[in-house]
Amino acid sequence: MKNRMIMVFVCCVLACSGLFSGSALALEAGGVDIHGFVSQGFIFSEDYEYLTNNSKNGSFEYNEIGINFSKDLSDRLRLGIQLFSRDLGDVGNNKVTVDWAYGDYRVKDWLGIRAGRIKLPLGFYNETRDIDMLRTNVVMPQSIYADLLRDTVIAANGVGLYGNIDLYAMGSLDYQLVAGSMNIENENGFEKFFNVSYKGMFVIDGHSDSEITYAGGLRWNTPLDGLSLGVSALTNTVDSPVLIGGALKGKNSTDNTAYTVGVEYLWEDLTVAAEYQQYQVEYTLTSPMGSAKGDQTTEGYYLSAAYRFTDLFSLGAYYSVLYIDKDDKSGDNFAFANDAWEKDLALSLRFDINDYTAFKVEGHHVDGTARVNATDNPIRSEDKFLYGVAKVTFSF
Amino acid sequence: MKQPKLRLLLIGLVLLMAIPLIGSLATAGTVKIITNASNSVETVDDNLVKNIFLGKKKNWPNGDHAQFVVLSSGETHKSFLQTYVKKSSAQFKNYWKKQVFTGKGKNPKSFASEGEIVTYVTNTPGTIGYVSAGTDIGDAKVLSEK
Repeated sequence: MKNRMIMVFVCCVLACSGLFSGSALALEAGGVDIHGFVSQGFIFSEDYEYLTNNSKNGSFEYNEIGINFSKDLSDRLRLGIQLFSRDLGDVGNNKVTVDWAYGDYRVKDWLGIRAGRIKLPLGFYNETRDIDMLRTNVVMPQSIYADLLRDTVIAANGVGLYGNIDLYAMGSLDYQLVAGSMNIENENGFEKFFNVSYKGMFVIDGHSDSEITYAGGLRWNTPLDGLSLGVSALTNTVDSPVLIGGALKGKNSTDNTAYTVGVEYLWEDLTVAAEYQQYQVEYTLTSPMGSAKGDQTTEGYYLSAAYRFTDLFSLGAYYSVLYIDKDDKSGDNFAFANDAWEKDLALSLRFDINDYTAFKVEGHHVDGTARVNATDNPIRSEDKFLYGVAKVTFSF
Repeated sequence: MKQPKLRLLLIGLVLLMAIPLIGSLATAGTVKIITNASNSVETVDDNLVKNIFLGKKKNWPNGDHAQFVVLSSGETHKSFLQTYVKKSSAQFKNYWKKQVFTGKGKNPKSFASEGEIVTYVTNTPGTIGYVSAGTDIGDAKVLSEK
């Protein structure tokens, strides 16, 4: 039934994309705006299964589908919902989720209130990471935007404040604050990410619970046109039932904190961005045998550039660096030393066939296996590998 | 075996980042910012115009609701975005797609011709739009011209 619904929606989007051209299109029914997208990819890799569990043979299990409905109930009050589904190999499997759904009341330009399921401001692009047509590259820099964690960190159920503060000659400041509960679903990538993070010391053994997540983001739109600087932070505590050594049941409690700083510069049809993130985890493992504590700080950063040559053609590239443990960059304490880092050089071509259809191809040269999933790749002795993706996105 | 591929990718990245250095700035044509004649606001600065068209300001300084309208394409549209919003057409479109797909806003109301903009602004209190310098704006009021 669910698959049938997805197919019907896909057909609707494809029909819209083919039938309409020229001016911007939004479907509207009873004052409700309707927008959607279907993004279908193909991924192929050498040496390792990467992102999906079946990329070495080439995989089409790489898609995102979304549809949203929104309505302005007054000049100040807005209501909307977006349904989302994705497939990433054995993650997601096109289960339909609520991506965001919230009421938004703008009290003043410098103060708005949101309540519902709200996207989290983590770095410049967490909120838009599932919207392929907004960027030139296909795969986001995995140093900061790990695809396995996408569904976990994308949004929280709670309340938020936001606004734009005029700094006059100094530009303006956009801010967002969110407090809420994350949805943590093992089958949406969290389990695979979790098990690898602890290098097999213990594995997840049930449903994880998150205490209240707090997230905040500031973006300074500087007086220099096109230049903005950003800082964001997220913190929460997650409790997970675990299995230690394949037999002993226990509980792992983690205090997670992520800090991200970034700079983005738009000049004519050029976009340049760089971000740096530290993701700190302090964990306490409790079992009938006692308890143990540990901590780790993951460090990631990237530099990206994209240029739109014509309405049809854009070119993009990024260099992304990740160290799983910033205090062990050479991998002395990893099963394979190259598990300690990932240095990814990506080159992307984008073709905007019309306002509603974009096609992209992208190649990656990767040094290091920090994001090569150990569950799908037990042996990771090769430190460098290549992978490529192609993707077509229809949107309206 | 793999090093030449890496070198090619690096060269590509460097070339991409060098492109703007050899590009040239397009010259923008003059545009007029217009509003409904009943609006008590007489002038606007560039920052206010930019923030209204990016959806960051929803009200005029006098507290009235500000609704903006845009041209769907064309040279006047490009000149306006370059002069006041400091974005290219593609960036402006992308910005509003981002708002739409994160639930933060709806696409701007757009018109195919400057005549339609003038008609809509003339008949709708609180509205702000733009036309090229030579366009007859009828009963609308000019807030800025560049």
